[in-house]
Amino acid sequence: MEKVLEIKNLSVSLHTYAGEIKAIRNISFDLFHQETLVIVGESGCGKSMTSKAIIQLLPENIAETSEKSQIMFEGQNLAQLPEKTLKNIRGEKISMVFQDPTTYLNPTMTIGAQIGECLSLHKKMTRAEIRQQTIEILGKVKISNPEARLKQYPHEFSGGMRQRVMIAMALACRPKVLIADEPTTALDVTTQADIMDLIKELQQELGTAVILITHDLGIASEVGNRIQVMYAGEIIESGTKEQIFNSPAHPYTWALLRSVPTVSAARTDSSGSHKLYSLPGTPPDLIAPPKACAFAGRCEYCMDICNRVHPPVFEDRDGHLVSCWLCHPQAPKVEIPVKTKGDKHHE
Amino acid sequence: MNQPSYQVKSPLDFELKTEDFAFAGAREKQNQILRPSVSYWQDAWRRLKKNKAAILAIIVLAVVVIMCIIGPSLTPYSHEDVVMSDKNSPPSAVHYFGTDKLGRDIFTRIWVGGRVSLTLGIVGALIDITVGLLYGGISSYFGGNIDNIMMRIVEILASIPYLVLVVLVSLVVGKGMGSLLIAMTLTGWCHMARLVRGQILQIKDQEYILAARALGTSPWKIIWKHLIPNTLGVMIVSVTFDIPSFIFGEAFLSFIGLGVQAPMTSWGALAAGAQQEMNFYPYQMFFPALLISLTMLSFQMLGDGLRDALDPKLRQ
Amino acid sequence: MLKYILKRVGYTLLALFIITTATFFLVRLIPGNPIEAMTEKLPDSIRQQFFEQYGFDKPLTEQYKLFWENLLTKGDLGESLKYRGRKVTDTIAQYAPVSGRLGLQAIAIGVVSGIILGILSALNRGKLVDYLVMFIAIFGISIPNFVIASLLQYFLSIKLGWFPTTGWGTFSYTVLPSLALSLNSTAKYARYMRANCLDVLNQDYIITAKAKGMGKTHLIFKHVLRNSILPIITLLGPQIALMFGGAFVVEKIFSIPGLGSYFVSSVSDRDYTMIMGQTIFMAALYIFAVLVVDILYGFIDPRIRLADTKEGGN
Repeated sequence: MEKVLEIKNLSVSLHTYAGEIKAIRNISFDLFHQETLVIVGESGCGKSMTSKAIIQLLPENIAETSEKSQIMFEGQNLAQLPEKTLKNIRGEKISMVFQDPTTYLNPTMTIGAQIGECLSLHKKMTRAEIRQQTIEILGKVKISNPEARLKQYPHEFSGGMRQRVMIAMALACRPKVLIADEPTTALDVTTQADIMDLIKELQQELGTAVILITHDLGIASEVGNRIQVMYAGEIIESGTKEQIFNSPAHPYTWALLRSVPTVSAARTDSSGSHKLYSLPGTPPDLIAPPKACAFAGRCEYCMDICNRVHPPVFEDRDGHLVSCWLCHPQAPKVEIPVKTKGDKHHE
Repeated sequence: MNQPSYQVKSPLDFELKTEDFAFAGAREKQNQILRPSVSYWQDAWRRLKKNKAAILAIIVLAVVVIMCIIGPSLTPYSHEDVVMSDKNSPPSAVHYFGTDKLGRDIFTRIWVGGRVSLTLGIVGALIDITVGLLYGGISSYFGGNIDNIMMRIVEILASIPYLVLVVLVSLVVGKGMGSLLIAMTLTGWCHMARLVRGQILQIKDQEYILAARALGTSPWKIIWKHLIPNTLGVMIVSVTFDIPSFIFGEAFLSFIGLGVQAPMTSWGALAAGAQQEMNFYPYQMFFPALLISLTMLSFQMLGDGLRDALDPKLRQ
Repeated sequence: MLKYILKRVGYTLLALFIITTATFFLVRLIPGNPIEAMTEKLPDSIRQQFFEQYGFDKPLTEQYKLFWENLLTKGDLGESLKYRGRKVTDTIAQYAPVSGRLGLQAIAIGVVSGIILGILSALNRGKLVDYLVMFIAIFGISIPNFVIASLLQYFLSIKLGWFPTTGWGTFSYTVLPSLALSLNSTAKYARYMRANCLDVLNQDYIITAKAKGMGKTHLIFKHVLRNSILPIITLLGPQIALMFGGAFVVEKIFSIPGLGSYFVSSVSDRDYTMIMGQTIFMAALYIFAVLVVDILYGFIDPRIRLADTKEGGN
């Protein structure tokens, strides 16, 4: 498969009043043509930061991408590119959908102007052509009566509709990569599915590769081809959807899977206890991140070595990557405390 | 379990022993590194200390206040002494800041006038905040129609141009410090009342107040523990910004002849008097103008610094 | 929106009524009843005429009624007590244009330079430009305008002779007073603009625009400026009126025949009818300017437009 995006040793730190926060710590991953890569993790684990780092949209004055970071796209390292070149990539080749469509749309500009802006920035088009295209895109994201809607302001749309506008904006130039940062978190549950369906549909139509950031494992299992789990600024496990859901290998992934409330789990729990699992403790302070395993402090299976040496990346024959000492051949075998075997999703 | 066999991607450069893989007991687990907690005021003070401009402002203000207290006794002259033979003399070792057209020692008069100007500023700002606190507090406490009516009154009062009203009231109540205070605070408290009300309403609706109420915390405790600490910062800042507006107001009134009466003086009166002599004796203007500007500047910088230091939102 | 406007107009009229009434009674409350005292100095025939027209010999309530009658039917605010036969309204008509021109020039300088400085400092946050602009701004706010006026007059006129010292006439007469008047508003606008700009720059939709691939210049002109200049408009109302009503001190220092210096003269002459008339005029101007600006702002900003149609006013 063709690699669209190749990220190597990406590290980002934030210089804040309290000190230097090492928000992303040396992560590497690839994105392949037309696939959907899901990054999951709890809030503050650096997943949003990763998405913004890819197109260099981090707050300039406080965020610093380390020098050895590589974000390779079409033979160029985005981390080293000057703004001038970057702006031609943003929006046209890599675009983004954000979490809260209310704050991410300019309240004083009409929807039409905001979508048209993407086109006028990247394509040589006349006003009439832009208008025509905009109407077409609005139709594609299933906004009815697009001609009239063009002249409206964001506050005249519902939350779900605004997110459709955001998607229309992001896809206006048919980008190669779409980064969706929690695109459904701010929406009602009922609209969430619609938006995800829409992204999937347009992805197939336009041939876009998608990076989906979410904390919702349900969504991850629905749309992801591959899944990456982040914890405390690191990727601790990554693999195909099947690998992650059927044979998760990192204790943190186990904890995540155990804490998902599902209707079926509540029904089929034979022990009769319906209490949801919750992971004790809090993530480590990233101002002084632990040198060894970041999860050790909360891990049920914490071993002696976990507190001393940072776990290396382990890989099985199918490319399932795990950063945990439990995968070491000398480590004791433990039973996965999660029910798997396809009872969460049906293929 | 069917755990697949994993291999290390890049080989390790050290040997591992079996005991490395013994499960760690609960006590051996890493402790979370927590930052020491700092109280709101400690934190504010720490941030204020970092602000060089604010610290400089505090020093300047302290010097000005001290000089206003001891300054007049540093010279053998009183602020009223008229020496016609020694009029309009430039600054010298005898008269540090020179003398005015009646031969009065400007150095002495500056500090005496400073007493008036500073007192007016501080007392005025305190009156504003007191009335504002009471009015805004009552308005937001009762809410509903009372709040509505009280706020409409404030709106109308605040829509009267300030300086014009001050002039009008000064004409009615006469001259002197008390009258100046009345004139300047008559509608000056309005913005304080709005501020207080806004703050209280905002905090009243916040979740932690709701939580405290739900836990059965008494109203007094809520006011003391939550309301006051959370509004105090804003109040202190607005008082700091309010003081210079009184000093300016006094100067303005002196300029149009409605300030304190001679032989008593103030910075405004000194500047106004010197303005007429500006073309010939600019030094007479220099010192009062310098002190007014320096004091206003210091309060501004202190206010800016305090605002940054006391803003709970900036705390991390 | 209509409901909102009507409500605002209603409050404005109420405020005007209260101010006018308050002014009327305040002037009559001045110890020693100066109006009576001053009219006594007038020749009999003129005093007779005064009494007839304004009812100074009648009880207060009568006077009050007569005052409104004169104001509403004839647009008459009375006559000067000091200069015989000089109508207050004529005086205002004569002096206000001078103050108006000066004020508009000062506002133009203040707004333009303030906005530019504010944007510059916001875009260069934490850099030298930012500190420099904020330094100027804090000076502009802290130094009273009579100090600035005196300094400008002393150095640029008396010492260097670049501009006329006092008086009114050609454009060169207006330069120094306009500058003296504008420094304060330059400072205010610069600070306000900087805060607005920083606020807008922190908004999420700026990230969206960047994610679209928008360059910095484009971003600033299309998204940042638009949204950060809008609130500036609300500052304009009070500013226009205050300047128009007279920058008392600056006009006095430069001996400019404007409403401001005339008002100061009226105060020192204790010309109470004049003071009263001018006070009412300036208050009305101020209140109306605020009203107009608020309504305009409502039309310009789509967010407010909607909030009002939804909730029917604030």
